[in-house]
Amino acid sequence: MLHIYVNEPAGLIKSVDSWFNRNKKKEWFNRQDVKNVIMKIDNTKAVKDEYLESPVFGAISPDRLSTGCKALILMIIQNRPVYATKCGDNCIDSIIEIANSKELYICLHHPMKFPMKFEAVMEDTDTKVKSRKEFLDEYYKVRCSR
Amino acid sequence: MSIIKLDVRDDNIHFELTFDRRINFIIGNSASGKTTLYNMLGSSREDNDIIVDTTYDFILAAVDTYEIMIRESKDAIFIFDDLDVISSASFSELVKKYGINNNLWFIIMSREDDESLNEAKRLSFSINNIFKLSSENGHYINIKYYNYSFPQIKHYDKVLIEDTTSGFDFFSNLYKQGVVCSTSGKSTIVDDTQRLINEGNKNILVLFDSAAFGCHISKFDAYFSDDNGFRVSVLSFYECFEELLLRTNLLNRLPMVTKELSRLTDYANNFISWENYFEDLIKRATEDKMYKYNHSGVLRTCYYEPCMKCNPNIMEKCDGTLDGNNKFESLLKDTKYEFLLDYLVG
Repeated sequence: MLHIYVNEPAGLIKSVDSWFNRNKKKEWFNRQDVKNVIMKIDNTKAVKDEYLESPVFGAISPDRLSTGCKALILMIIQNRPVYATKCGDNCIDSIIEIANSKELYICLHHPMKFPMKFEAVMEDTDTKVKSRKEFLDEYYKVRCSR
Repeated sequence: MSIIKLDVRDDNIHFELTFDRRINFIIGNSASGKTTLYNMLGSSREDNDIIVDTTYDFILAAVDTYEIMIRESKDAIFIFDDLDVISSASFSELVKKYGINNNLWFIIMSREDDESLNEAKRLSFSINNIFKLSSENGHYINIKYYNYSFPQIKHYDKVLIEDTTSGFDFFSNLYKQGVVCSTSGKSTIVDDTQRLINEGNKNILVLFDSAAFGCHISKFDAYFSDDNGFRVSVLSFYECFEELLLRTNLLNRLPMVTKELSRLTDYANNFISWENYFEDLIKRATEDKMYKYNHSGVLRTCYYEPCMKCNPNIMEKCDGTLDGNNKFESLLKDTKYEFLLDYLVG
């Protein structure tokens, strides 16, 4: 299930780039789900451990992955809330896919364009939403009351 | 300077970006090149293989120093990459205070909204200067993120107008029925559109001032961009009501207007928001005319009633007489906004 915070929760990984760069482990990049995300978002092949191959840059380290891709990897790997405003629209499908297999906690400071029909729990108001419109209504209710 | 360029390249990658207004955002998909651009700019001071060609020197903004840099820098392009400060009231105030006097331009890479600020404290920028990067074989350009196509619909149930005064007067007279104004300007456009949908209207034309609607467009787009049993159309090239009036045959022939609109970016970038520029221009252009325009006042009948209905004594002193018994046709024919004559509303 996808859990969305609008106010910043305790333990939020907000500085996705620096947190990822400091805490990454080589074994992360041998997982198939991580490899899939790296290919889908950055069009980059995770060959082995931290050796990645980008069609633009050639051989690269994980530090050069896009911020959105790093955010998705953190969502897969660990259980703290992740600041998903670092994610572009092309990450939305992956966020929903990850949330289908675990309790995924994210925080948003922008109106992410989720599909018209999707499910999430808005943690600030403890409300279950089943559509983009319901999500937006709850999002702005919290965001504009700060 | 009316348009700035940011050209950054090495052997493999070439960013060729141009910006015609002072406040610009780059958003869009992950892995589209934003961080690569930022990193190349950061490395270019030491890496001779990275060539940077810009209209003005660039400054990569940092949390600790951006305030003093904005206050002290002149003729510079500030680049903000994912800094929370851009959604703060203090950042907005700095931009408004120093942007023009110091000739500063801003390229902001962030999706974070500033919904928590009240309207007066938010940055005013155009929806047309929110960009994404597009690339082909390592060549990157910036293109509009909100690329609304010209609406093909000609029959609308309702037209929602941002302006509560003059603009509302104008469109109410143009369409006679079906025109509603927003409850409280641009800040309630989304709520007002939603209300019209809830009332059962299927085709709605929303005329917000695109020159200053940038801080609201992500919300508007998230709610209404997908076909969900209703169609909400917008005119992204409609800068504001004053711009429409300046394009009419009444005003576009005035030398001051002709001159400035033909070199729009040169003049309009003397203002942070182009909306303020158009308000200023129309005020200057009409202040000694019989058809004087007052932004917050009642719209003079010159803008919707045929001149033949005018008092002959006034007409004698007026240099803006237009022939014809349909004023809107006289005003809009052969102008940028001629298509408005074809719309049916209600």
